[in-house]
Amino acid sequence: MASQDIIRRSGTTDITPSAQARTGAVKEVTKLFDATKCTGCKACQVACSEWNDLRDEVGTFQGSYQNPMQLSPESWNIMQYHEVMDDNKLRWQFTHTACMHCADPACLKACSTGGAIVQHANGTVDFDSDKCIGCGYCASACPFNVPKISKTDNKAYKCTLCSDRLAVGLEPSCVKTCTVGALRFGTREDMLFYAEKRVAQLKERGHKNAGLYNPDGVGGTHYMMILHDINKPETYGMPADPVVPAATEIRQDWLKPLGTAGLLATAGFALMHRIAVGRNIVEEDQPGYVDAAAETEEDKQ
Amino acid sequence: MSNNKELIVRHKLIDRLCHWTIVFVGLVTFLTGFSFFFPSFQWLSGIVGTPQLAKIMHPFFGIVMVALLAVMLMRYYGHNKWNKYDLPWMKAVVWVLLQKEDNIPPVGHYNPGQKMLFRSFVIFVIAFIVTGIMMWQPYFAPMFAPETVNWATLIHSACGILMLIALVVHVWMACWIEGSITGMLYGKVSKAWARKHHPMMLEDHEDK
Amino acid sequence: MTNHWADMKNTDLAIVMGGNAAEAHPVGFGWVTEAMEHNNARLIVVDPRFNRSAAVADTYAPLRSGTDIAFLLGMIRYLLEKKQINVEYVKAYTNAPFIVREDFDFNEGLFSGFDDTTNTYDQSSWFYELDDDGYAKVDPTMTHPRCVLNLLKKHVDRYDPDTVSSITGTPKEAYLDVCQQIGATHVDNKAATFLYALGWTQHSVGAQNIRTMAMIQLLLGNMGIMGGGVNALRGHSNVQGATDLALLCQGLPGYLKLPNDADINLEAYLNHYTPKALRPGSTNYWHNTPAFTVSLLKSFYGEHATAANDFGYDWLPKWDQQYDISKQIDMMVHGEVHGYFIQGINTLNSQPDKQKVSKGLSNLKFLVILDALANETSSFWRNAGQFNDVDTANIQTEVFRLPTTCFAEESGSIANSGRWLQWHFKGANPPGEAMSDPAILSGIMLELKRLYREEGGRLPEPIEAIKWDYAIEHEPSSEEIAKEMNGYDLTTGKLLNSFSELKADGSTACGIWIYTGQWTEEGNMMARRDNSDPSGKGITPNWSFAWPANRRILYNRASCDVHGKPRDPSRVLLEYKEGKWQGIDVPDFNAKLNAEDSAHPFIMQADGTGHLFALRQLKDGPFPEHYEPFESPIGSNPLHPKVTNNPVARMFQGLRESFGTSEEFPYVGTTYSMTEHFNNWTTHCRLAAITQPQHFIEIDETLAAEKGIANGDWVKVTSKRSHIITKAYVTKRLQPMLVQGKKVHTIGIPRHGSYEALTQKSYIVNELTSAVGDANTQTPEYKAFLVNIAKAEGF
Ligand SMILES: Nc1nc2c(c(=O)[nH]1)N[C@H]1C(S)=C(S)[C@@H](COP(=O)(O)OP(=O)(O)OC[C@H]3O[C@@H](n4cnc5c(=O)[nH]c(N)nc54)[C@H](O)[C@@H]3O)O[C@H]1N2
Ligand SMILES: Nc1nc2c(c(=O)[nH]1)N[C@H]1C(S)=C(S)[C@@H](COP(=O)(O)OP(=O)(O)OC[C@H]3O[C@@H](n4cnc5c(=O)[nH]c(N)nc54)[C@H](O)[C@@H]3O)O[C@H]1N2
Ligand code: HEM
Ligand code: HEM
Ligand code: SF4
Ligand code: SF4
Ligand code: SF4
Ligand code: SF4
Ligand code: SF4
Ligand SMILES: [Mo]
Repeated sequence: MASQDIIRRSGTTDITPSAQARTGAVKEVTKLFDATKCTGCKACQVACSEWNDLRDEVGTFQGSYQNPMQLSPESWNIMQYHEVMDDNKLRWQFTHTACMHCADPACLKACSTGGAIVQHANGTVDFDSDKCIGCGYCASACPFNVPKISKTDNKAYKCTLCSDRLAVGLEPSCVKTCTVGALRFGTREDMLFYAEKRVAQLKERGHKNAGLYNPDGVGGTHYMMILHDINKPETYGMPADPVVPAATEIRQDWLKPLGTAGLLATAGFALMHRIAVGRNIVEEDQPGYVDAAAETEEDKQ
Repeated sequence: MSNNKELIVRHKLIDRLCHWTIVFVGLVTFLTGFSFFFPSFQWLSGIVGTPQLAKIMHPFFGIVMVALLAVMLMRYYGHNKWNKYDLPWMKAVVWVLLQKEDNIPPVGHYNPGQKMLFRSFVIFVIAFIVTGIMMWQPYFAPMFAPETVNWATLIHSACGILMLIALVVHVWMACWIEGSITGMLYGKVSKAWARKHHPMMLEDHEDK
Repeated sequence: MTNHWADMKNTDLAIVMGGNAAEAHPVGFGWVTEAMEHNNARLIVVDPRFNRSAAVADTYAPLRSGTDIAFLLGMIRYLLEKKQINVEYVKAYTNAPFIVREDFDFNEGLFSGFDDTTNTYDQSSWFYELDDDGYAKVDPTMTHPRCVLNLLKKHVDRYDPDTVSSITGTPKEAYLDVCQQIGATHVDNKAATFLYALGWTQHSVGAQNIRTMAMIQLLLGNMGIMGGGVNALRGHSNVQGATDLALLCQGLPGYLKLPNDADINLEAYLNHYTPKALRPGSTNYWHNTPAFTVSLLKSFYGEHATAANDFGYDWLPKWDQQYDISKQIDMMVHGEVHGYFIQGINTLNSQPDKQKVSKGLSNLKFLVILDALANETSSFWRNAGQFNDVDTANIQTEVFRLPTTCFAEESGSIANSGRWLQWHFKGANPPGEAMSDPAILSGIMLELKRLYREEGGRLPEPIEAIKWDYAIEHEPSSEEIAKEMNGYDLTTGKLLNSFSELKADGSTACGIWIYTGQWTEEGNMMARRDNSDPSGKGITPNWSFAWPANRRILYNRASCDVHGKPRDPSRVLLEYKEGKWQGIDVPDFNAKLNAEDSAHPFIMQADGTGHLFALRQLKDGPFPEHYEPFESPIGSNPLHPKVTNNPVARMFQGLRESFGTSEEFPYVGTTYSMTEHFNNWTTHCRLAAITQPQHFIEIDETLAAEKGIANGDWVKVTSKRSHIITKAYVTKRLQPMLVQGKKVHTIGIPRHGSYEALTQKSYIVNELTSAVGDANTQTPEYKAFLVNIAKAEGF
């Protein structure tokens, strides 16, 4: 993806985004997951590993169909499995779990390093491994607990929304592979339009609380989910009200300027003091002090 | 009066070695730390090579520095106890700054300003080690909840800032009170220096 | 399948029962979700477990494993009682109005003709009453007491909802809800489709499970239409092809029969297997059997096959008894087999009763394994601790391993469940010394020929006569084989276009008649990739080749009424208009006939109808009947306690003694696949191993609490035959069922256990299962057996 399509970079104090030659030419895109259609087949997991050349550990049974249990540098999406009782009826809910590509990405905000995280004009939030230093600020700031630091090369990894595929006009690998069309990909506009229709259809089919998960707290996301019950995102393993965490905002928006001011003030004060008060010399210790005194004595004599 | 230039020991060799190692290691720790904190100063990480290396080195240097500092703080603990002379000195701190020597009540080995700095160092040491370990990728951080790590990061960087401010003050004072740096370098200060800045320290010595 | 994958999008109601389509056919299942989203279809899942298919279903109903026939016969009762059948269709297109012989009877669980010394049926009474011309008698009013419909009514009368519920464990309301939804599709403008696989086949009543459903589809008028049909979702990617090419050991390619000792010459054979029409005007397509058979012999023996020598008929092996795998194992155990070839199957792992399989293999002198991987079977002799506790020193079997290629390393065709023959192209070179299966088999064949030539031997003729004229003798290409299967006109040397061109005079050769048309003079029809779908109904005539004759929906004549008018104007496959047949699919009937004359859609039946009464086609009865699994949690059949199990199921000596009782083994064990693994061989695949790294079983919360088993605990599951130790998944998705007033628990056992692969080492699950099998297909009863469970020490 051409660099002029980057609209936000991590670790920069620039206030205005860099110029964009093709303003408006790039449409925002969205990956849309329909939990009501998903069969939990994990093809998306495998497809992601295939495309991105990832091979996680072979784990062990953990009391669920879920495996691996967590996102990791070698697993950029995982399926979660939840047995939920709804109105005395069992629902087995599957969640395709990956980066949400937040419009207001906490990871990017928290990142220590210039350009290690960028947001493209199409809405994807992408990590640049070359620049990443592995500080993990993204990992701890992300309200969805997405980025993970590799023990092998000390860098942060997560779903890129297959930005390499998007750049050449392909859909993400997981979407391409999804067996039943539970994953879709398109412009944000189209996906919102489709989701609205689908949610209406689901309501008609008896899912009264069906809805679209596109949380405002992070400005909306470029990976959205259609859920059977929008009032209970926690039952899908998703936070009900994700926001850019306060600690991140305080650190980046308050501590930095205040800290700078504090440092400058102290240094400035020290300089002023030096100019105004000058050196604090113990005169007896000064070279020539004894001689001078002796001289005076001698002079007196 | 003839013994004005006579030198007395203020810092033992081991403490001086400690101190200057801390200064060196601290330089690395601080500069790398600040390269993470202030994006515009990312070039600072160049002092150890690359930003990636800086990230790897910082906590190790940090640990060394914190460990040495802990040693030093323990050794200087005795000198830094609060005592009855400190309050009057504090009340006269403006005169201290303005170098109006006649108005300054006498103090011992360390003045209350230094003691406060000392205390802040104690706090910083603990805060750095605790939060630093919680943040340490990829080894320890995954053992803590992300939110906890995130708060740890905030505290760690806040301590970084505050300690830097404290150190600016420390260095500023060191440069201002001439003779103290040589004291820290060679271990000895003149009796005159002691009489001027830490008169009661001299009493300690003369008692002996 | 009578229909095909893409056609599922046309359905109004999909029923996944006796299978787990979402899990075992995840891609094909996409057509179901397509129907649900774009055709507002509903999905019903009936399964002992709330599985991945149930997760996306509108309706889920549990049932006890092995009781589908009770469920479905009860549904037939419901349909007849509530008049939810498609009367016109049933009258015109099924054998409902046909009159059955007077001596046919059903009593206390047994049909007429049972011989309890041999445990077989004399099937002669299972037939129509014939008139003087040899045609079946019919009562179009369907009032005759012995017409099929009335016999059926009587037969299903015992299956009232309460009885069904207490046998199956399905709560009555859920059951009636399912019946009601399915019954609603009896109208002409609604279609329902049943998707099934092993949940129905792997029972001692497997074939009858499927038949019962087929009867329902006939009663509802759902056969021969878009979005309807009887749809077997096949297993191994090319198992449809294997079936077409004679999977069962008494078959020949194209569903011809292998002769037995009674068929002393070609004439006798053809007389035996060429049916006579049972209704005037019936197409009775199998009347072409001679043309198919002779062409097959010509393809086997080439110029050695002449009219004078019955086209080499005598060289065909004649079968004397069943030789399915379980039988072969049984023979090994009894020292009756000395050498054995295993090609592309992990026998030790996948066949029932592993202890017995192991014993059988240990009795062999030599074992040849053609396989792409080093699987458990090829090291059955190696002691792998608790996973394979054999005494290696006492096993003398010499094992030869011949590494083969796998599908991506060769080109060829694969027949999918929808009968599409799709060509695929080689994607990589094989590793190391691996050779393709045809090359290995050719090598053996040529060596045999050489040995016979040079050293002579008993009965050399069949080997000598085999036609072997491939360009590279030891490496026949897929292309050559595909053309050979398609068939040639031997006078012109040209490839044939259609099996209607086959002759019984030896002037055509054809390896499998139903595949004719797959590779014509115009080229490889299987490699066609034009997915244009002019009608939008999923009929893509230029995408690959569908056997037979590129026909996409079988029995499609039944989509129109007797007068050739489409029964549902929104699902027009064909119609009789302006004096001729026209439409989007290839007609599955003689399209030269007018509407009325062609109104017998089931052309492979001698009477042209769909069979509610199966005549002599199945070994265990012309009507289905509920029999308990051989290991039953209730021990006896509530309908007829004297005949608890299928009386003619495939049995071996000593097998009965290996059955456990419900006192000792109170829980129903059932085995199945999970999406993450394909049978056993993907346990060797890293990515698949990552997604499902370790074997486990599933139990309900009630049983877990009773046994003190927590989620993730180690457990020991024991059957009368052996045990496995594995982890437990305590889940809400399994629930105890109320059967005959008794709480019955199901223990779900995924079948992907392996100790020679990349997954965590685990027991082979077939330690637990039994070789008792279906009467018609010999398929083992993997889906219903008895086990016990206890907390265990892990490993
Ligand atoms: N991912 C994956 N796909 C596969 C395979 C695989 O191993 N993995 N294997 C392939 C092969 S070879 C085959 S043959 C097919 C098999 O395909 P399926 O038959 O769909 O698969 P199974 O998992 O054997 O069984 C299906 C369901 O039958 C249920 N069942 C058990 N007993 C009964 C019963 O008495 N009545 C009813 N109604 N249901 C019952 C089980 O709970 C299970 O959910 O899948 C093929 N596809
Ligand atoms: N308990 C229980 N047992 C079952 C079942 C069940 O549901 N429950 N299901 C049964 C069913 S339906 C099936 S289909 C069987 C499946 O049982 P198997 O067929 O034994 O299982 P697979 O793992 O598919 O084994 C296929 C073998 O073929 C090899 N192979 C792959 N490609 C090639 C090739 O091109 N050439 C050759 N020569 N070899 C190749 C693979 O390496 C592998 O070893 O299991 C049966 N067993
Ligand atoms: C006096 C000593 C230390 C100072 C002044 C210091 C300062 C800093 C600063 C300013 C940052 C950047 C914070 C931000 O970007 O918001 C930082 C990051 C960090 N510090 Fe320290 N730190 C010290 C000691 C330690 C110690 C002892 C450890 C480990 C035990 C440690 C581990 C870390 C870690 C893990 C980070 C995250 C960034 C990274 O690893 O690259 N620090 N430090
Ligand atoms: C270039 C930078 C520095 C200079 C010039 C400097 C100078 C000095 C001097 C002159 C003293 C002796 C003060 C006295 O005798 O009263 C001193 C003491 C001390 N310094 Fe530094 N220092 C520097 C950096 C640091 C740093 C980075 C640290 C630790 C993080 C540090 C920690 C201490 C401590 C703990 C003492 C002991 C005095 C006390 O207990 O208050 N110094 N320093
Ligand atoms: S989900 Fe997390 S990693 Fe992804 S864009 Fe949002 S904050 Fe960043
Ligand atoms: S780990 Fe990398 S991407 Fe994440 S915040 Fe640190 S530098 Fe940025
Ligand atoms: S979009 Fe690409 S990187 Fe992200 S989960 Fe899907 S396949 Fe993986
Ligand atoms: S590939 Fe599609 S259906 Fe399968 S688990 Fe992923 S999202 Fe669900
Ligand atoms: S394995 Fe092949 S045949 Fe089976 S669902 Fe996947 S794509 Fe289809
Ligand atoms: Mo299968």
